Amino acid sequence: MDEKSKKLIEVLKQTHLSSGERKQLCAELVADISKMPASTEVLAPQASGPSWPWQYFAWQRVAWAIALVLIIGTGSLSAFAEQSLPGDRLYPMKLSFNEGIVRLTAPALGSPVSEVEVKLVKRRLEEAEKLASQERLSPILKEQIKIQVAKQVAVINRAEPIAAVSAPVAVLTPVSESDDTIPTAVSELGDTKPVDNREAGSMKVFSTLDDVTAPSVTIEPKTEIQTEAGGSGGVSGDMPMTKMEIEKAEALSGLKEVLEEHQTIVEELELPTIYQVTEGSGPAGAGGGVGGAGVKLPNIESGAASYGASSGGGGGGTKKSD
Amino acid sequence: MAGKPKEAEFLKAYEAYADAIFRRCFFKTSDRELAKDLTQQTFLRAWTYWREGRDIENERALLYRIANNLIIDWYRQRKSESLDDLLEKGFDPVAERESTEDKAEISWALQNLSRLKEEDQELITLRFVEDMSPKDIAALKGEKENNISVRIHRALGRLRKLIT
Repeated sequence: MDEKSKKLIEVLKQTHLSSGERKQLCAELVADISKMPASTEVLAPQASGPSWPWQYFAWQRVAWAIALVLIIGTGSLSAFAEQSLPGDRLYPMKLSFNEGIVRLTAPALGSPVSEVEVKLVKRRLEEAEKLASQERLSPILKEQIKIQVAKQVAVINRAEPIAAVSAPVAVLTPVSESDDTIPTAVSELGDTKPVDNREAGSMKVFSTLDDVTAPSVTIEPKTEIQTEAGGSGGVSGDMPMTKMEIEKAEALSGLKEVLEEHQTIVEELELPTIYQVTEGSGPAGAGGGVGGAGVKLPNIESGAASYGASSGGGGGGTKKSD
Repeated sequence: MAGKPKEAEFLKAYEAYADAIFRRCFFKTSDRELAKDLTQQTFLRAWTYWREGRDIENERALLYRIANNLIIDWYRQRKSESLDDLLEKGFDPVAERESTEDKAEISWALQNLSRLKEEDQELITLRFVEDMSPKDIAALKGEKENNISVRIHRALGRLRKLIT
C-alpha cells in the first residue's frame, strides 16, 4: 500500500465517537432498551407463576376441543353406520361399535343380554329382508348374516356358536324308531323341520352340510330343557328356576317369535333347520316336536318358556312350509 | 433478573461495535450528527432481535446489515445528494473536529473514498479501517474468502490510482 493510501486509511481510522458522544449514546440506548425488556423478562414469570393456570386451561381447552371433535365425528359415523346393511363399508362399525355399546349398556339398563341378542337377531333378519328387497342378498352376504345369527343364538343359548352354521340346510337323517337318540336331536326351539313326509319320529337332526359327523346344531341347554323319550312330554317343574333360566326361557320365546315373524327370510337364508318354525310349535306349551320327543323348558309363570310337545304321545310336528 | 444477562451482552456488543457502525454511517452520510443518530437506531433495531432471544450467529454482520438498511433509507429520503454537492454547498462533515488540519484530512479522505464504487468503499473500510480479516469479511458478506481477497486487492489498486 502506498503512502497516500496509508494516510487516507489512518485518517478514516481516526474517525470515531468521542468519549462524551459514546457515553451519551450509551445512556440513551440503555434508557431505550429498558423500555423494551428482553423477552425472557416477560416470559419468565409466565413460565413459573401466575400464567401457569392459563396455560393449563389453554391445554385443557384444546383437549376438550379434540374430544368434542372426536365425539361428534364418531357419533356422526355411528349414526350413518346404524343405517348400513351387510356389505356396506360402515356395517362392521355397526356390528362392533354400535351393537357393542348396546351390549355393554344393556345390563346397566336392566335388559338381559339374551333379550338384546334376540333384538339383534331380529335386526339381522330385517337387514336380510332389506337386502333381498334390493336384490343385493348375495350368497356371501347370506353366509355373513347366518354367522351373525348363529353367534347371537349361541349367546342366547349360552353355548358356543353353532359350528356348522354355515351349512345351508340341516340334514335330516333317517334313523330307526328304536333309536333312543332321537330326543336329544330336538332343538330347544321345540320344533324341527322334516324334509320329507316320512314319520317324524324316525328323523334325527344334523346340521352339517356334507358330514353328518359334525356337531349337531341342536341348541341343548344342560339343565333347563328336559327331554322325555317316548313322547311322554310334559312339564318337569321339579327344579326351581334361576333368574338366568327365566331370562333364557323368555329370550328363547322371543327368538321364536322373531323367527316366526321373519319366516320368509329365514327360509331364504336357509338357516339351519332348528331356526325354522313348525306349525303348532311355540310358546306356552304348544304341541309340536318330533316323534314323541317331549322337549320343554321349565315352567314359568308367563308360560312363555315351554316349547315343543308338552303332551307328547308321538304327535309329530307338521312342517309349516309343507 | 432473567433479562439482565441479555442486556449486559447487548451493551457489550455496543462497546465493541459502536465505533465501527458509527464510521460506517459517517462515511456514507458524511454527517456526524446523522451518523450518531443512525448508530443509535441501528443498535435499537438490533435490540429488538436480541430481546426476543433469536439466534444471532454474527453480531457484527447483523449490525452492519441494519446500518446499511438505515443508510439506504436515508439516501432515498435525501434523493441522492452527493458528498461533492454537499461540500460545495458548504457542508462540513467534521464540524466537531477542533483542528482545522484534521478537518481537512478527513474531508480529503472522505472525498477520495466516496469516489470509489460502493462495493470498493465497503471492502476498503472493512479491511483497513475496521481491521477485519478477509475471512471475517467473507463471512459477513456470505462470500468466499478468496473472492473477497481478490476484490480487496483490486479495490486498493483503484484507490491508489485515485489519490495519486
